[in-house]
Amino acid sequence: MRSVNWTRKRRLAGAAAMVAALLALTGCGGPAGDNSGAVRIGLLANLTGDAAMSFGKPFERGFELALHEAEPILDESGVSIEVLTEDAKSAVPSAVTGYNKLRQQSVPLVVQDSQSPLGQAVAPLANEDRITLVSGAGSALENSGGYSFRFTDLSTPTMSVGSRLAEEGHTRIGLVVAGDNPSFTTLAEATEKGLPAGFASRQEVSSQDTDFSAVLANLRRDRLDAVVLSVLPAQAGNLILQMKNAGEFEHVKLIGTVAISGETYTVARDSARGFEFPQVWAPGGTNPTAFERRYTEKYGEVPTAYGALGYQVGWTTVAAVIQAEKSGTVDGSALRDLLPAASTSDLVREHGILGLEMTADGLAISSGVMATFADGGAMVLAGSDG
Amino acid sequence: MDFLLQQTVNGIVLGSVYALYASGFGLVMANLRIFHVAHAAVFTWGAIFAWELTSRLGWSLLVALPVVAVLAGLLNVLAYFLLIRRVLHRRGGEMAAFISSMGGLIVLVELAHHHLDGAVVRMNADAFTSAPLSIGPVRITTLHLIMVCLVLVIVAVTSWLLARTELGREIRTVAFDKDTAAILGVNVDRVSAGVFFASGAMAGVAASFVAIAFNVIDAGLGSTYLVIALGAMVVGGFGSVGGMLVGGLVIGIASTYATGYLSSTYRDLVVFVLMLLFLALRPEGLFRTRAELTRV
Amino acid sequence: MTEFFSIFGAYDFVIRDGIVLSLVALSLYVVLSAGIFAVPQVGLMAVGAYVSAVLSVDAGAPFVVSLIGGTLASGFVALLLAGLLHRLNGIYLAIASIAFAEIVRVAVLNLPLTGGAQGKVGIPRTTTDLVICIVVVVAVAGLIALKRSRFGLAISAMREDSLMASHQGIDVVRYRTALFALSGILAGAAGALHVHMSGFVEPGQFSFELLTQLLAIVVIGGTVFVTGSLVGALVIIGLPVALTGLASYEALVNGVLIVLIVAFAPSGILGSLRSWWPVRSSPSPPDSADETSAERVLPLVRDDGPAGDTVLEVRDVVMSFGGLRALDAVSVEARSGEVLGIIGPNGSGKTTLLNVLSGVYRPESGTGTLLEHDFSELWGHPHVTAQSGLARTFQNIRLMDEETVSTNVRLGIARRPGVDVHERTRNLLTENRLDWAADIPVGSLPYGVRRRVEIARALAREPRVLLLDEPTAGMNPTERQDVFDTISDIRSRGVAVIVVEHDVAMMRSFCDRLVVLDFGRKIAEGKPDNVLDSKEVIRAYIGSGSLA
Repeated sequence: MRSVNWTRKRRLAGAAAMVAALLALTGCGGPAGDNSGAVRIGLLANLTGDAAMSFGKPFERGFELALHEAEPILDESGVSIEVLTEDAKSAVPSAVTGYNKLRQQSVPLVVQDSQSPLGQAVAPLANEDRITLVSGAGSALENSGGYSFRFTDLSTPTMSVGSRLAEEGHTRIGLVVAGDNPSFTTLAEATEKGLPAGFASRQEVSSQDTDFSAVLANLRRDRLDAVVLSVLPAQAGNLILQMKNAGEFEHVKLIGTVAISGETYTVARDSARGFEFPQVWAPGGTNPTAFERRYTEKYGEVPTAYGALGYQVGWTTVAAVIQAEKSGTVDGSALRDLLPAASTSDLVREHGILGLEMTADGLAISSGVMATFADGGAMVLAGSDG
Repeated sequence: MDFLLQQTVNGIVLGSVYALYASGFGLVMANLRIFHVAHAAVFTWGAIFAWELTSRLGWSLLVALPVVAVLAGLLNVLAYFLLIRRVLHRRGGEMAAFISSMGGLIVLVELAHHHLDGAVVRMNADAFTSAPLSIGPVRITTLHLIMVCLVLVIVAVTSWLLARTELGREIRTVAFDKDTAAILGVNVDRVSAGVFFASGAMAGVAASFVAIAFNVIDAGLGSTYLVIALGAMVVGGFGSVGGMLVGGLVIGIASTYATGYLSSTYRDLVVFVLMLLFLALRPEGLFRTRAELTRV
Repeated sequence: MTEFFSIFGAYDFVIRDGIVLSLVALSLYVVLSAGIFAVPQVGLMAVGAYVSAVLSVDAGAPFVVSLIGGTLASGFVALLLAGLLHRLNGIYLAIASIAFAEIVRVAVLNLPLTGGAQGKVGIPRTTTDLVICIVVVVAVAGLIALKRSRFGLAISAMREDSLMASHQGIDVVRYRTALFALSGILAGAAGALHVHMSGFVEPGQFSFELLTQLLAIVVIGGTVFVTGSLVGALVIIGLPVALTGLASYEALVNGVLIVLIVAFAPSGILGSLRSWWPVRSSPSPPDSADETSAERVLPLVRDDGPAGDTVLEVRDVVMSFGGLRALDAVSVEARSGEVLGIIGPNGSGKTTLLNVLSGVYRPESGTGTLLEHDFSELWGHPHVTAQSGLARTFQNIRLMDEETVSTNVRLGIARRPGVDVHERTRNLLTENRLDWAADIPVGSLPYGVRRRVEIARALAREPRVLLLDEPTAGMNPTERQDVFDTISDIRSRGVAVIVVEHDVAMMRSFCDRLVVLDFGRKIAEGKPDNVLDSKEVIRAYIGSGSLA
């Protein structure tokens, strides 16, 4: 039994060494020194991982652009803002770690770009820590202290789609929805609210589906005037393409949801002409706005809806901070109280590019626009000359 | 009735693709008794090869198919040598091979992810011009027809190979008992590598069809189909290629009915419950083979 | 303050997450280390998490109730699963367990009770670091204690060789069910702890990716030590922290690690470290020739005295495989204090007969009794046969090569109250002249000694009937003599011995009775001289052309 004690001692030593190593790796992140007077804002963005390309990176660029342009105004009010960025890596543990690091730096406000699980994980912490959280999550967040705000309004632009379809005279409207994704079920419900008679046909698919022959057979059988595609962008493209190949859907109007992105065009190509979908925002195509020009100049690409959102949230944040500074304290509670008003303030109306109101109970209201694909796949406002 | 017929035909098309994918998988499983999950990644890479050849180089699908088959086959053989061969000899080799293969799956999927830059891509539509057809009340496309026919041909050829040729005999011997086969002078390594090659080639062909017919290629393609292919194997029994064809068709039709009459999420449930039932009550599947009977 | 993980600063969540994850890894370890190829743990964790969440949020239950509820629910589901899949092994079992995990995921995705795709938020975050530590420490300590007990030994035996294990009286099915339940409890507890730590639960958490992470943890840590899972979890958490620059390559590194470790260090980090400690060199066995001459003066003579009662008999046993009749209406009986030899040409069905007698096979027809038990209850259940007074050895010695001689012999001891296992082991080792080898791994010993260990193990359960399948195959004459001397000894204790052998000369001079099989039929039975001189037997062995 001698040998057992010997190895046990070694094992304990090994375990202690590993704990020490872990401490060394992680413990070296204490609260940093305070930079004189600058208000630190946390940006918890998905810079890597699945959500980076479509959400995190465009959002960060828009946000950065807004803050950059706001500098003269901030100087005027005697405020300076320092943005601390943490990579959420599209995963819950990294997001919480990133949030923790921001909290250690005593930020009064954290902006988080997207992904419901990340928002769901951080929200209870933010409420406990009294830090205002502005999140792009699609699902409802815990909001016990009133600190959780969302800037994604999926329902308003979507509901308007429903009423629009009815106005255009479509009577039998079908739905294809990715039932295993909460955002899409929410979008589907919102669309239905705008319809006088509800959906005449409801087809549920899974987010990984690529073969839709069964669904198409059903849709054909149900003789529809229009179909709403509440699915992932690539799936929507796939559906459009398969419908075109199958024939018999020429007279059916296809409408998407706010979730549509360039991937839809990548898959459907020319078949996507005439496909309309609500967006929080869309570029003007051949008539770019000033914002678009500045964004393109700085980053070398045309902004997407998420870039526009980042820009809008950036300006709203600036407005809230300036207001808080004027009232005295810039901390989480103050920002929480001022954020709703800030989102509709004159400053934001002047510099912002889309109507986005953030309410005190954590919801967002944004009317959005209808967009479509121009030649070559650029997303433009529907009806523009793109 | 027409609707039922249409859904059945849809099911057959889908099922034949599952069957091809499952056949590759099942061949390896029957041959070496291992659960080679990395096969799903070979499938994904098959689709990527097809995409590269048709979109980047502009080849037509039918020209690219054999090349894709060879590339995918080679990839699978590489997987065999790097992941499987070493660990199979050990005690508990089955489990070790499974875990090693899973590690390989992760690596290959990540590589695919990086290769595609996390994006979804689509095959060049010019690679194969498909025209819609009507056969009675049923709507189908020429592509679907060619898919089904090709799958039937491949299955028939494979069955013939296994039953009538020397190579086929060697493969069956190794499947029955590796050690006896070695004593009888069969080069077990070479036979196993050959099986992996064939399995990979099948996956490559199946993947090319899926890519052109269902349009979307991303890093998770093979994994999505993986569990369904497992279902096909379990239902059909992986001793015989014909059995797996039937299994694939059954799963294809069942899942299409489920999607058509219920919804896609129930489709998953139907497939898994079917699988579980078969495993609990009749693990050998619909078509038992002798090899299965004499092994536990 | 109970939040002591806060010393890790921003990474406190990651650490807590990792520890809870290691708990799930333990649930995986529990099953994999027994050689059971089942991976339902992600599904079980989901069950525990959701039940706990529903109890907390919808039923307003306090933390303790919610924690225990989730744990028990998961354990219960695991039991059901074990029952449903009890006939499956190997790959089939793996596939079935994955199917189960997916069914759970689809179910929680669709049920309104579980919040569907949105999951549930607002779960009170009542898990303190103290609770996490207590649960993990209790789990690890419990598993270590279990591993050191006979339970642990039985599991190692099951993993190595489940046929041999069942012959030691180990009911493999019952152990498997117990392990499934244990796995369920651990995974369920982890799930319940996790939801009360993060405050929410959603179906996307319980994905195939999680399973791959768990496998990585178990593989990296190794299944040799219980604590391996903790080490594995440390590495898996530590990696993303250390590789902050290469965030998107995490999964890739995970995968590569898995492949490398399985290929080159299959026992994981801890196991590999263990094998690098210098091993004590084993002393050489005392010269067996000296021993036999010094101690063994018993003449090599049959005991012609009257044999005792019939302790085992089978009648008209028929056994077929496919179209082949391996045993054709064979009847055999064994009496206490007697050595019954079974001989016959290759393929005559000798080993098949032994397999029927030890309960491995159930014959198509035939009856029999073993002591006071009816064979129809024993066939198909070798562990019950073993518990009813029968022991056997195997043609290709089945021992646990990595374990010591005393551990192997200890395996054979039936667990009964009042038996001091250590003392009994020591006695057995002494009686079988193995005390010098007590702490040496069996794999490094010479063939003859290993056979002795196997026989010692068989004797450990004090059998009334002992079956020996070609015990002297491949031995030199001295070793062979040794074995037969041992058998003689056993016979004199009143045990009925049945020996299958090829050395006809030795059998002639040694057995009390012989049975000759040919093509599955018994063609002769009786005293050795009579049997071996009969024409039929000679013809069976040599062929009719050479009859004198």
